Amino acid sequence: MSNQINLISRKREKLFNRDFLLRFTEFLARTLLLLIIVFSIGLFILNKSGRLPVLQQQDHSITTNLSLVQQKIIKFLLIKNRLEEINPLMQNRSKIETLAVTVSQGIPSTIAVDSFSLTKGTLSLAVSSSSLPSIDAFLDFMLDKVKNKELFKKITITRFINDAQNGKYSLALQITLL
Amino acid sequence: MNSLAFLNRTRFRIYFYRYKPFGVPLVVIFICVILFISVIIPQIQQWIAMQKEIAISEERINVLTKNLTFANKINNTAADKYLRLVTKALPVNKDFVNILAAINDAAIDASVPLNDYVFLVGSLSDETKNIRNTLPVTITITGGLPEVKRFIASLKNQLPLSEITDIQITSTVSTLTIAFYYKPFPEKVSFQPTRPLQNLTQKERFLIESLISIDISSRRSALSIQEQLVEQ
Repeated sequence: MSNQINLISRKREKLFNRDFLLRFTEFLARTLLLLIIVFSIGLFILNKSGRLPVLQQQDHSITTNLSLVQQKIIKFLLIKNRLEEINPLMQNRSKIETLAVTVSQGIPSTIAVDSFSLTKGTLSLAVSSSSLPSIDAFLDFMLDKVKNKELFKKITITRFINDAQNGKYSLALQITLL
Repeated sequence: MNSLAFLNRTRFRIYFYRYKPFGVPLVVIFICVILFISVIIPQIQQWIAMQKEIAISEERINVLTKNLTFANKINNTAADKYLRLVTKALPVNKDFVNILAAINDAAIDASVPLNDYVFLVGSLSDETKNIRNTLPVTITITGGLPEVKRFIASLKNQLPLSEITDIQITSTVSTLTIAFYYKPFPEKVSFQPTRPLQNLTQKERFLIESLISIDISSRRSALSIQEQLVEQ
């Protein structure tokens, strides 16, 4: 009769069976205890036997060796520092020489340079000659430089004198450099 | 009240005897959980942290080793010579002796008679450390454009490095203003062992070669550097 009115199924009855629960709890406790012991020992060994102390020793040794050659390194860094400073100087300084060479190349032997003045990006040039075609050739040469955008940005003729008594032509130019 | 107390005591006894064998395993489970939280998790965290530290250490040692190898390859004698060369090219202060020598040698090389020169010395003590300074020198030479052209070409092959800023040429006398550069060394040249040292770039090597050729072409104390700064 009592069996007939028991509503809990056999399976569920077995699940909540006291002996089963006890065995399960004991098993769980043993397993957990074992895992804790294994993990503790394993992690302890892993943490203690790491490569870190060896690496720290290696680091210290290399740093000591580096300090012995520090003088050489400082010299090297100073050389690099100077070169960084020198580089822009070397690149910029050739302009005036190029300018002098260019201007002198365009001046025929029949033309005399009376004055050549370069100040803050402006070149003032005065030439004279007894030959008008020579003056013309020089002027053409200079104008070509402006057209080709070589060195000169703008040329202004500030003076042109025909000295008939001495048979001499004088030309003064003001040139804005690029 | 009394009857309730009796019931509770009885119930407690029943439960106690019924569940007494669960006591030890439950206590063990509880201790294990506590140990896991207080010991195992920190140890795992420590292990992870250590792995990170090892990785950082290995990286650091790698850079240090490379720097040490590089430093050992630096030729000390060559480094001295190169440093002297670059300091000669860009002096740390107003190097009057070398400036005068450069002007003189340029005039001799160009066969240009030098008349007189004026130094605009400026302050001797209050030098700015971080900017490139110039020492302007105005010189007068006998001659016109061809002489000036020769002089400029010759001065280009002299150290310290200079730049012509002003030219006034007449048919007989020419006046040039030359800016000689100088810059003090940085106040602090710090070497950080963990920063990788970079060898000279192609551009820097080319620059050094240019300076050597300038120095060799000048008549004074050519350094004649044969050795490489950093051995291969």
